[in-house]
Amino acid sequence: MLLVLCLPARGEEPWQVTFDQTCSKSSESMTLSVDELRTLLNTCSALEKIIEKQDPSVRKVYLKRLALCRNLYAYMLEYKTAAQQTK
Amino acid sequence: MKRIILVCLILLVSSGALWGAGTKKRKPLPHDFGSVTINNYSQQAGMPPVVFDHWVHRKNYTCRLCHVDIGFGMTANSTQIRAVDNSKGYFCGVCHNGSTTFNKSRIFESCATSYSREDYKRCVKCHAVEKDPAKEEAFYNFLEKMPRETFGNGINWEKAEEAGLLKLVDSMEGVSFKKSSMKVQADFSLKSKVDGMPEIIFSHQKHTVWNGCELCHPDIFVGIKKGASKYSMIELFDGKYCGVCHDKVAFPQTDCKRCHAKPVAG
Repeated sequence: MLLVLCLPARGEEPWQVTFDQTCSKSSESMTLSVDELRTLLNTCSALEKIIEKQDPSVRKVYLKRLALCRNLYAYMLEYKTAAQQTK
Repeated sequence: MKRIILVCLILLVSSGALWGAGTKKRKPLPHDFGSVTINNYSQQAGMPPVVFDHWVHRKNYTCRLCHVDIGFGMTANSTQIRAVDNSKGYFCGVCHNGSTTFNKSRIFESCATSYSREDYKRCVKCHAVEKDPAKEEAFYNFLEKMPRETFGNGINWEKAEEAGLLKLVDSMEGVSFKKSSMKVQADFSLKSKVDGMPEIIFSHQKHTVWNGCELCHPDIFVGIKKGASKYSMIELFDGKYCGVCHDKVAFPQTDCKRCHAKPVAG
């Protein structure tokens, strides 16, 4: 069942499914733990390598979109790490 | 002696005003406010630049949909859109593909590798050769139904959205991903640097309706903690921080009371 849910939708490539799953967490980034944020950032780095190999139009759109969510996660991670250290 | 000083002062102020008038940026007309000229590749391809009217789009869609999900940059010409991108269904082509509909009407197709004389009429909808009076008229017809504001394009978009006059689309099938609901941060106040100036009330709620989180953080506002980002009105008028949107598309920063809204205590 879980595998079916993870299958790409019509015309979607597997990396796009990962991209959607990764960046869709941006609206809840404030509530994510340090570990969750680190995992998301690692996935973002892996996605970047795949997107860089895509067609120029895809690359332009998705690198921009990926940068937005990755920067947000990095920003939240920095904040949460600093908060942990001051405790 | 006092008279001489007064005359000198008047001359100084007048000359300053005259000098300033020659260099001052012309205030856009309400229907032109928020218009962006995009000219990365148009003229190279023998087409006039694209004149993009924000009001036409923001009455139906959130800023977030276009600037996050579709990937348009926040500054003119930063996205480097090519006709081929649109033709493949990216950027303008996400909606302007000839098949997507809005309110049951088909959205015209953008960009083509070859075009007939008839198709050219479609091209100039965006690649504007000259001002379109029909577009101007459409703006004023729309304005009539909206809550008014003194500055910008004369529309209080915030009130319009709150009153349900605008039904903003925030996701697009095949482009947007399903998101969980957002925990909205509370409003906060920021102390003004000028004595006697009311404090600024910043509403995350009002901003997230249009923008989400990642449009502002961290690219525009780096600090998470209140007061972490230090900025001045000079920087804001220079197009930084709030000035990325306000003055260009969102209400101008000359509308002081919209932000400096908390009365001075005591």
